[in-house]
Amino acid sequence: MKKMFNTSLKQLFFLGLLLIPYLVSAQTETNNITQELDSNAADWLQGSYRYNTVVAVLAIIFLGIWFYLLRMSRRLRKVEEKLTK
Amino acid sequence: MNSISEKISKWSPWVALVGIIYVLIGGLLLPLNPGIIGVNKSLLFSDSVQEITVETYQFPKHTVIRKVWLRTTIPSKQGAFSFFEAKVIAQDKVDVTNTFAIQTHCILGNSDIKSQDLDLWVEYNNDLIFLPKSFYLKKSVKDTIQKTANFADFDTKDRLSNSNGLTFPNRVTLNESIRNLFYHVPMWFSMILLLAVAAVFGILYLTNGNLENEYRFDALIKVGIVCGVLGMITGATWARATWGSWWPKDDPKLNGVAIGMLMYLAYLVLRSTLTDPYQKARISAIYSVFVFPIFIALIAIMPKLAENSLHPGSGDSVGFNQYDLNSTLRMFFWPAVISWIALFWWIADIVYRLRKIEELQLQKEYEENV
Repeated sequence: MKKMFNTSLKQLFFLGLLLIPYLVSAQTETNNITQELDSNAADWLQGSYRYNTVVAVLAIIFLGIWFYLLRMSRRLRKVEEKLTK
Repeated sequence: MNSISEKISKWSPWVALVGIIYVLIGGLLLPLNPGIIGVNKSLLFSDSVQEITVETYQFPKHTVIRKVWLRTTIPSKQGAFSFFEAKVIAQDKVDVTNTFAIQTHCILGNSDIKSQDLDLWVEYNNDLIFLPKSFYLKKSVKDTIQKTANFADFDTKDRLSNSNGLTFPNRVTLNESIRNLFYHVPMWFSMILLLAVAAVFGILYLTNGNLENEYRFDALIKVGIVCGVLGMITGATWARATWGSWWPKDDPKLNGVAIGMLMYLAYLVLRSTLTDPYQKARISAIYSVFVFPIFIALIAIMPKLAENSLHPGSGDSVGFNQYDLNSTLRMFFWPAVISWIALFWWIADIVYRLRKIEELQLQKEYEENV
């Protein structure tokens, strides 16, 4: 059970991956006159198919985490039923 | 209270699934409104011919530029200089050439002021976009001619382009990073809600001594801390993109959050030092009840009372609701708040159930041994 708990915390960390959009679309060093696009990731994502692919990958990662949590929740229910008998 | 929590936990996975997929896809794929990114020069001298290139963003194809305006930022002077010769030279590039010189007396009169900030406004098709304080106009020595031909009344009220169908507002400085609103703000909403409910369970434990309440508030605080960490990561990234620094030192909200998070980390340290389960539960409950109002004071009340703040709604900054949010942004913001709260609530429920099972197993083992 302890192992299961630790694994869920690891999965929480992977939720952080959902934050990638800001890292890649962020702009740097702005002022009133000019705004420069972040030179690396944002430029790489200029092509719409790449951006769409990243969004799709993020959605799939989220779905993976969601199904993992759902499976864990169902397993817990079985253990709970067993223990309360 | 426990039965309400169980009911919410039953629905939260599905709310989280539908809401976050909706926010992830729609929130990241819908385009921004057109806007101005920058200009090729910032300093203008009066009484000289101007040639400016304006870099726009998400400009529609086949756009017709009606007029380009340079508007004074002096409140008493509502007029602006108009540039008639403006054309789109490439995608998201507009060339503006003025054949006549700007006369500073139009906006400065005969006062001793020698310079002035000017906003740039571009009228295209039936819309209007602007970039505040785009130029710094300096009065040249030979600027004595009293011409007013290109200076006219320019009222921008209710004319600013805000929505073209399903698009997000293109705010100056925020630009594409406005999408972070669907992630950064809900993290803090989730954290505050989880910590508030944890304080309620803390009070319940202190009144009835039921250990299940202790499992609940402990799980809620742990997941609340995770929300806080995610909120700080998303906030730091946003701050870097818009304010130029990962952690601006003089922002009262950021400093309040740092102290508040340390207080909650101290909760974990405090628990780890106590071995007796009942003592651990009692002291943790008291701590969770007292630390919550202090945390709220640090992250919400103190920043509001501060003189200066970069955060919207704190100090001298206007709230985010004043940022011309259009209905499309709201269509994603509130579902994002609800779905992130649902997800973290569900995770907290799983952590609670794991702890409960562990305790039940320990109890069973003990009974078998006895």
